[in-house]
Amino acid sequence: MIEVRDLVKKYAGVTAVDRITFSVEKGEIVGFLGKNGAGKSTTMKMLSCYFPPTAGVARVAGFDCVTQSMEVRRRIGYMPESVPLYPDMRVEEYLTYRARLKGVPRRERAHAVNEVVSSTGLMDVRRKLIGSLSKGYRQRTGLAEAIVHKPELLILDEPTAGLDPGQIRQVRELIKELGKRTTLLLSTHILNEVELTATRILLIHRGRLVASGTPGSLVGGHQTARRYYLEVRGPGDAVNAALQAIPNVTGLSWSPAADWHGFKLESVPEFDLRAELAKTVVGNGWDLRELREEKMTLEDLFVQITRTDEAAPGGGVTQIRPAPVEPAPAAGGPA
Amino acid sequence: MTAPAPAAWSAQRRAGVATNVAIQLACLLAVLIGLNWISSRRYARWDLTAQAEYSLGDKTRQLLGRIGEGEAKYQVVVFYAPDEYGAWEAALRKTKDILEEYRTNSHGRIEYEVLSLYTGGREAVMDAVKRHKIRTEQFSPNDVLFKKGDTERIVNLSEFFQQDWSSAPQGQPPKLTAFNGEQIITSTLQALSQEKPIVIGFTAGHEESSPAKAGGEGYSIFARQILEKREGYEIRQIQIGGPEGVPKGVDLVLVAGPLRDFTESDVRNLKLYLNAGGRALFLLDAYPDRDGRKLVILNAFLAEWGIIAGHDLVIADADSALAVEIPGEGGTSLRTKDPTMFRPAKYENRHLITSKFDSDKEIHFVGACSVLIDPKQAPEGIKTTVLVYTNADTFATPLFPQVKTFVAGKCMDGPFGLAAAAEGKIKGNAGPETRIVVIGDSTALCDGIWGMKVARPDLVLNSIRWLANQEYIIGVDPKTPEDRSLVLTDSEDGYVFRVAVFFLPLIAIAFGGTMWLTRRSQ
Amino acid sequence: MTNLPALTKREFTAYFYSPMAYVIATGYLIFSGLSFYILLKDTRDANAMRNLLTFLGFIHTIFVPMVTMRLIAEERKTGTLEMLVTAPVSDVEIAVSKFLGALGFTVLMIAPTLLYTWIITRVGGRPDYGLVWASYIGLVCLTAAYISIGLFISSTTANQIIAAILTFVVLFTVYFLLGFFAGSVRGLPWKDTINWPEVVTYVHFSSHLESFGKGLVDTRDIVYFLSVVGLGLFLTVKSLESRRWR
Repeated sequence: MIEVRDLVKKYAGVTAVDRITFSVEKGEIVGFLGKNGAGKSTTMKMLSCYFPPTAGVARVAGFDCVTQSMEVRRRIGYMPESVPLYPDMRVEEYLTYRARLKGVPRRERAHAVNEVVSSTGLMDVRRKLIGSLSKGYRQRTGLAEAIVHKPELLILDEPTAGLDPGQIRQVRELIKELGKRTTLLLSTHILNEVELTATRILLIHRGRLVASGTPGSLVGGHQTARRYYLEVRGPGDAVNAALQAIPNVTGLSWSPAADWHGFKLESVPEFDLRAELAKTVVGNGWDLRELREEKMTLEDLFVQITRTDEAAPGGGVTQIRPAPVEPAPAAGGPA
Repeated sequence: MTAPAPAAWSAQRRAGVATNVAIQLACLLAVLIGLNWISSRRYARWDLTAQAEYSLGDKTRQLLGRIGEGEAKYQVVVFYAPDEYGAWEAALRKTKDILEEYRTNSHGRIEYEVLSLYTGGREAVMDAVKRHKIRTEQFSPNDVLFKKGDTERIVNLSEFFQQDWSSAPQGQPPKLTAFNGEQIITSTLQALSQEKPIVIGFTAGHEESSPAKAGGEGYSIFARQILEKREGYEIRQIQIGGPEGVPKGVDLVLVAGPLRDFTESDVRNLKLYLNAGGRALFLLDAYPDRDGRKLVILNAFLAEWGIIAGHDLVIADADSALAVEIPGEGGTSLRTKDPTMFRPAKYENRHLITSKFDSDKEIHFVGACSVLIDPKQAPEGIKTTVLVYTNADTFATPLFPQVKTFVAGKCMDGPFGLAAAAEGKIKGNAGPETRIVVIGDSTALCDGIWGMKVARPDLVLNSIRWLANQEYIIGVDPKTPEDRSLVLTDSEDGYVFRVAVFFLPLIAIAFGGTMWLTRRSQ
Repeated sequence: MTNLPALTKREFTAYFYSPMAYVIATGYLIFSGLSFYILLKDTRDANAMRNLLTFLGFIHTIFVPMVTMRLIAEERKTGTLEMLVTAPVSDVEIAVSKFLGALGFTVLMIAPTLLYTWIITRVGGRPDYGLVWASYIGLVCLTAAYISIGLFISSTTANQIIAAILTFVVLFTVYFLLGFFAGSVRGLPWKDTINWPEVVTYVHFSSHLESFGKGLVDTRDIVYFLSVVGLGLFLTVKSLESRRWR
């Protein structure tokens, strides 16, 4: 459905999007993840034919976004981040107008508008002026507009931005519902949003695509170490020494306490050391209250990638290098 | 996935697009300039005014069409001298408007400029004087100069219009009652465009009013200023009684108020000339002979053509008589009506000469005689027409009872004719049509009357044009401007202010308010 | 051009949804009403339209920018322009529809001034209706040219106030100021082949309004105004497209 190759966009010397390549198959729900200003919106604007790329190719449904932009525009529904609407129009009026622009035949127009009004829950406000609507309703109006002509591809830029938690949940459900019908590309900077809605994630940072895959495979693919957390009652120094002596342990941090000491451990990813750890603690006669492996989250990955980049500004982040294993990285786990 | 397509959008292509846009813009500009260029040469112009004020007559268009193909440019300069009443302003505006139409319709062959002598700045006037090589001493205020190369004609703006002072409110400029700018401009341009002038032969030897004599009964103003300078005719004084008859090269013979009768040889020669398609204009008067001799031979000659000139004096009633000032003792003057000076009541519109005259047309007759027709006396092939009539209350009194041609001692009651025309070919004439016009008055165009500024030459001029085959000039319509002035009373003034400044904007507010409220509601 | 009716309808009706439009129309009618009243009193001429036309041409240099300023600048500011250009409509359709919408509104705004002629007849005047019609044809042509210029300027900025001021400056120049320059451009290059004063006079809007005021409809004036409209629309389209290379 989407085919993007070496896409570059420069604004006045600043490279907003830098050689992005990806493709989206029909029926996928793809989450575009990245911090603000990472290049998500720019990429989406190029795909929706708002402006052309500086270099590279973007194709939607086999049509080039530059040379066949009319064909592309007919096939997509696009909701920009700010959800621009005409405040002086009534909801239904606006949807009818947009349906007409998007080529919904006259006979089907009323039906199409009715359908999107009910499916996006706008029934109660259909006669209201858009300017008087709440943020949530505006977002729904924007969504309704994007789908009124049953597009093959739906591009939603930050569809939940600025909503309260209740509205976010509603919009998210709506998106899930939509995802069953069309191919969907949505962007967000909120991590669990993609985890909840997307079947695949494109992680973009500083204009570059840094990772892509299902939420699980992403984390798996980028895991560079296994982390464990133990709580042990015993002489702290001795426990520390014993744990450090276990083979394959690459890092350890000890937060001393009067009674139960907390230990964070890192090891090479190849082996699960939990049995070994338990055996060591219990074998030395110390008490073990807790032992768990700390799974890496998407958020960890996100933070890891962006921090790496900030450490080496300007450097290309084409692949993720393992973080250096240090004895006392305090950033390991705010749970 | 398929192999990557070549980069669809690169920096080079982007620069290319910018150049492309620049080229497109240049092309568009070129097309638009070309379009405007063509449109300024080939265009249509619709006159939507009720009276078609700006539509030049067909005759003028024909002339402009001919001028348009010519080589030289025509220049018209108006030396406008505004007066304190603003009396000439309306006339100037109309003159400017119509000159603009001449410029437009001649595709710029005719250029004009208007110089305001008192308000326009000295420099502009001096500049124009230098450019057009104007001899300032020969100019009077409100003169209009027509120039083509070194040939020039001068007309005064006062001839372009007629005004009515009597109905003008106190302190207001008078109303324009007629505007014949087109007629004058067209005939003047026509005269300028002519290669070889038409020759008018003023007969001499019968104590006629002479073009060479200035003042009193002289014809110098009419002959020199109007016929020669403005209309472009060539004036000659001719003897017709000689053995060679009417001299060759004379296009029309003009007999201006003879006081002595013609001789038999004069008449014989004139007859020969007219039979071969000659043209003649006779201006006769009520006082033909001081010596007691009458114009018996001449009148008999005219009667042969079916035109009967009366030995009488036309006495007008109070309605058509003109008011004159008679100087009295101690600088006083008496304003009274002179029954021998009058305006005719009716013009024959079926004849070309008077076709454009309506009953308001200002033509003056001074000491006139009647001119009637008798078609039975006219030779075969000659058609006679009375051109001008008096009203019913005017009568003609015979001055010489011994001549009892048609009214034996009795007065003739109106309406009767004051001018007549005869035209046609008599048997054996292989040349052009013979044309004769007889007008029962010559005094109205003599220098004395010009001095009083009441000379109205249109009837004589049209006769000359008709005789000289210049029908196209007669065809130009004089226009009577419609009075569109509007003076508001105080209550009307308040009404206009209320409606225009309060009521209409209120409509917008009310409409907007309603719209706004309905929009707000669910 | 299949979307043109829908787009034009939207642009036209948008004016009626905005209180600003009524404020503009009211102000316009007050100004033109005052001009009409003063002219009628002063000239005592039932053909007041001939003189009024010159005044209206000037008043339009103030009010047309207020009508056109929002056309694209507002959409650019609120972001709806992005929605508009990513819908399957061409930039030409967008420019033309906005032009037509604004023209429609302005014509409606001018329409009440037709009643001035009625006022004249009410107080006993006899206006020349041919002259009135010719004047209004001229006024609409002039206004169309104004709108295309305003539309283009509105497309170059997201700030409506800047658009309005800039439009006013340009319109004031082409309608009024150019008349003063005509004499002072003799010294320009190629003065032997190009008659600059004539060119400036030709470009000068007032010179193309004169004939209409007399009651004459001349194709030369119409062609000129339509050329300005064409140029304005072309520049607007290119300005909309310029997001592609900026």
